[in-house]
Amino acid sequence: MSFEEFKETLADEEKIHGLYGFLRKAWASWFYQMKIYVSYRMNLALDIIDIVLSALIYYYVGFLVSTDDLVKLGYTPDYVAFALSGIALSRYLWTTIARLAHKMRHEISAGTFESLAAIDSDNFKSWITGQVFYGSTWSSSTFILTILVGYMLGAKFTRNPFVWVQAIFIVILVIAIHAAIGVMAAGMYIIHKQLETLLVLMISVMEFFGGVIYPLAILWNYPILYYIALLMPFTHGLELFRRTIIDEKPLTDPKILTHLGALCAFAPLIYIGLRVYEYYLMKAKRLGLLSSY
Amino acid sequence: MTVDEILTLFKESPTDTKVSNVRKVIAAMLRRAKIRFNYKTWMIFDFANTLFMVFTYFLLSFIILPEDIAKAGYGYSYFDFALVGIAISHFITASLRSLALTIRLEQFYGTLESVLSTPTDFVILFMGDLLYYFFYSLIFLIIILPTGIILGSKIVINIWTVLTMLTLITLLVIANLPIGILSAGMVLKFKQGDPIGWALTWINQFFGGTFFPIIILPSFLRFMSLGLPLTYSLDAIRYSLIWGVTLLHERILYDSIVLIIYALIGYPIAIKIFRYIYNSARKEGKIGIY
Repeated sequence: MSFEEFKETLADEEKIHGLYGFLRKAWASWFYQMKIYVSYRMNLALDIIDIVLSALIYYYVGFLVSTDDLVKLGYTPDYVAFALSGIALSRYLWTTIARLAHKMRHEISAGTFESLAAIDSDNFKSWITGQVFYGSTWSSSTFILTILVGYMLGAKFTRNPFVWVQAIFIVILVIAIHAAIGVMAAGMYIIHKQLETLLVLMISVMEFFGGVIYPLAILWNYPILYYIALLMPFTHGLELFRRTIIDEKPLTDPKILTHLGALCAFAPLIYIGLRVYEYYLMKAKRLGLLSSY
Repeated sequence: MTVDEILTLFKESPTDTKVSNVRKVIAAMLRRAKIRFNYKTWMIFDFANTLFMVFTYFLLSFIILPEDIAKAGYGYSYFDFALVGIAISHFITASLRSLALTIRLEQFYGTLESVLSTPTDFVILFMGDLLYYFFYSLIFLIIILPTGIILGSKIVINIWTVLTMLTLITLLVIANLPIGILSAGMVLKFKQGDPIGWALTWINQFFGGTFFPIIILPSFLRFMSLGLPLTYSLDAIRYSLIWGVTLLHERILYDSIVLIIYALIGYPIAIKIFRYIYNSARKEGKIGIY
């Protein structure tokens, strides 16, 4: 797709209607973002270094961990698999949630958000869809690379493709629920600036309570913290993911079912997220706040 | 008129200002502080983030075996070990990333050329920014160490260890700054901000031994660790706080001398490279492009 085609596509409401038009616009939104990212080759290389080094840090921390304690707390003795599964999923979420709000901040502060609004014809739905898919492309690549580095470092993740199908289903479910928070935050960002930092804090809270690098059972020493942890969708998502790719537990396992039920209880967030986004966008349009920052 | 002639004209001091450089540095520091203090929520979240990191490593320490920590000479508590790493991580970021961050921000908002066209030397503005980051990191240190002690850390805090720590932190910033200057040069050259900064942070966290003692690294990686000033800074600060010893202890004295040597060698090289990139960018008119 050339630049001219991309511009034409984003403004082609009058030519192509319906689902096809929507998908073409979403594709254009995804495509231009990918083009920008790929043009920064050094950025790409440094991102890879980031992933490899962060995995290596926990690989070496793993040498210090007591495998007996890990087993006593209900996990396999493989700390590298334990930590890297947590890091892979939390990074996936981090990039999914924060990316959209970050993108919004970038467009607003660079003064291009009003230009996008000028060619918008569907309340940014196709643009947002494209951006969400771009975010997913990027986050998925990061996620896959972290897992691959884990395999290379000897992490005992499952090699059974059927178990991975279950794991992918869980990841999609976790991401969908958390992406809703991202969409909601992006909408709120249009009016309440500086929200990105709140997202960063939220992710820190999630990572802390979710037990990314330590077993959740340690929180039993502080029961109140343990119960707070259970109120977070990420805690259940991470437990589901870990139990699947490390312990190969099926969806019918009672523990898995409990976490799955708890995670599904957060599903209404998807609908609420989209509604909140729409509300803030319309409000900003009415007040003329689209480009103020 | 050639590019060189234009640059020569700009180099001429326009006025004989009576404002001393020290006042200018303080003014630059206050400017950065005023901007940052406007974003109070951001600052509160920044502190909260670091506290969550302390709590996370506190919980992780429950399943860590102390043998390797003891073998490296840091006592028997992983939490003490990690706490010091987290407490000074902001100083590391300040020395490695502050100049790059300043350039990137000014570049992004299109104000870099305006800043550089003022009679005030860019070095002075940077010193001001650095001073701000130093004090900002100090606030983190003041919050994190007592939090660690409340959680059960046995680090030794008294007047002598505090003085030693402050001296070592100053040395840490001075010795790591040449890498920060090179990073800023890369921002000017490659127009990339965050990735370079993050890569540097990860490289230093990994090789410098922020979260694990470097003795567990294989020898070829340990060799790379020993090439980084951060390794010596962390070692000295940890050893002092864990055992309650001062600058006069031979291990800390050795680390300090190595840091001074790093600074003596690093600055001329880093400044030369940065000046070359900076002058090239000016000649090509690419200073403000991002």
